[in-house]
Amino acid sequence: MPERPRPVRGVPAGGEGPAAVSARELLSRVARGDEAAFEQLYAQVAGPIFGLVLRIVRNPAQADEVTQEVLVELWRTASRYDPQRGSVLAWAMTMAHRRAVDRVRSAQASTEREARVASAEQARPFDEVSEEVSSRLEREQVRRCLGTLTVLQRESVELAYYRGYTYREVAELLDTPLGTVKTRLRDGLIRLRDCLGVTR
Amino acid sequence: MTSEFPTADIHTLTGAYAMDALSEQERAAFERHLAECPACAVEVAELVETAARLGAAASTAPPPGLRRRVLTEIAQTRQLPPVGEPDREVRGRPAPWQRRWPTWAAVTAVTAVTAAAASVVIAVVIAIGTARTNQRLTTELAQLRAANAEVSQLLTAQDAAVTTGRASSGGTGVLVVSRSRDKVAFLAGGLPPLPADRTFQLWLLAPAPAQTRSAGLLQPPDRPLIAGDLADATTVAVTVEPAGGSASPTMPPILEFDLPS
Repeated sequence: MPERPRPVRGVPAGGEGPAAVSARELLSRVARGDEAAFEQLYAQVAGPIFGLVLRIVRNPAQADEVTQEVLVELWRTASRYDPQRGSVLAWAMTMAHRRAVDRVRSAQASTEREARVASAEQARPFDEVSEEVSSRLEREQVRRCLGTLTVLQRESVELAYYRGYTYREVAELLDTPLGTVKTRLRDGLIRLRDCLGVTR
Repeated sequence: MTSEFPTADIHTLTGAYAMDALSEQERAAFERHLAECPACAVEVAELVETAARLGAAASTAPPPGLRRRVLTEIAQTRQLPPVGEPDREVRGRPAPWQRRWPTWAAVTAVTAVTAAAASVVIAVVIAIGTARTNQRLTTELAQLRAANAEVSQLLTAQDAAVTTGRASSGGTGVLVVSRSRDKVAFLAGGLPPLPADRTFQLWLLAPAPAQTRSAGLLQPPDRPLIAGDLADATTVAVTVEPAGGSASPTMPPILEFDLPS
């Protein structure tokens, strides 16, 4: 990979359509304390945040709680968002994923963990997704791109991202060497990135 | 993007990192690596963006009561002030109030940065002093004092403008510029360490490439650098160049400031 320092000025981070551009504008208004702008931002990000958190923590009441925390955190830290580091969506989803993962990793007793491990084998993540008009195309595209991964890459990515497992746990679950899982996670995401056309 | 790296092993963690699939210790270790590996940082940013798309594809209508609760809570939640700078300052353009003269806060901040830079340099100078002659030490200290005095003087100019910018590599830079004194002073803090064969170089960029010129090397990076004779320069920029510096910038800037006209 060639060394590509990210210029401070220049093309904004990629992967954003018109909706995301307005998310950026909304967020800068939110940073100035604009509650109306926050309501609009809520409409754009609450569904994705709740969906992801629910996927990871599983319990709807807990997902509701974590989602509320994440959204309030977006409000509280809006001024700290740095467009150079990525899109508003990526910022929000990173925060949501981390919170959800923290919740399951800290809350989980070992027995509960085993139960989760057992249930992880069932349920294909994309079958549980409730229908929602706004992002159907996006979802179709992600589904199609996940289809371009090898079965093993896809399995690893889904366990790590949608279930919140560490790569060590994924390795154990799949009875695969650590190094292989690391590589699968990276190669899988790279393939997804290329398929989705994510650039910076 | 999948070619081999000297640090191939830790580098393959980009995917796991982007998906929060590391333990706390591994995450901390990887973040230290990230600070020194611009290529990894780019890859991580892209993979984080990719993971976010996976997340968004899981979108589910939130429970009906959530919106009201969140709106009620934010109405009672104080927001954090910005840490760095608003966007326009990152791009190096001083805010209108800064164009006129530096506020006391800005002066204090710059003085603090200057003092910090000075003490770092003095510490470094002292640390390596045993291997050097007293003569050399005295010269360096004198140069440093002179540079600090020059920065302080520049700050008192009626049209002195102080701008802070965050470098894409991490770290921050402060630029003091005065057209009436025809000078700029640049101070950096927290820039990442570079390999031995690289250096930070400061540039005065002009619209005509022929008039673009080097304003010196940041050696060490926290030493204040002063450049005069601004002429047609419109932008001050920092790039990473091969050790010894280049005749003209060979890499995209990690930090840029627009100069007031």
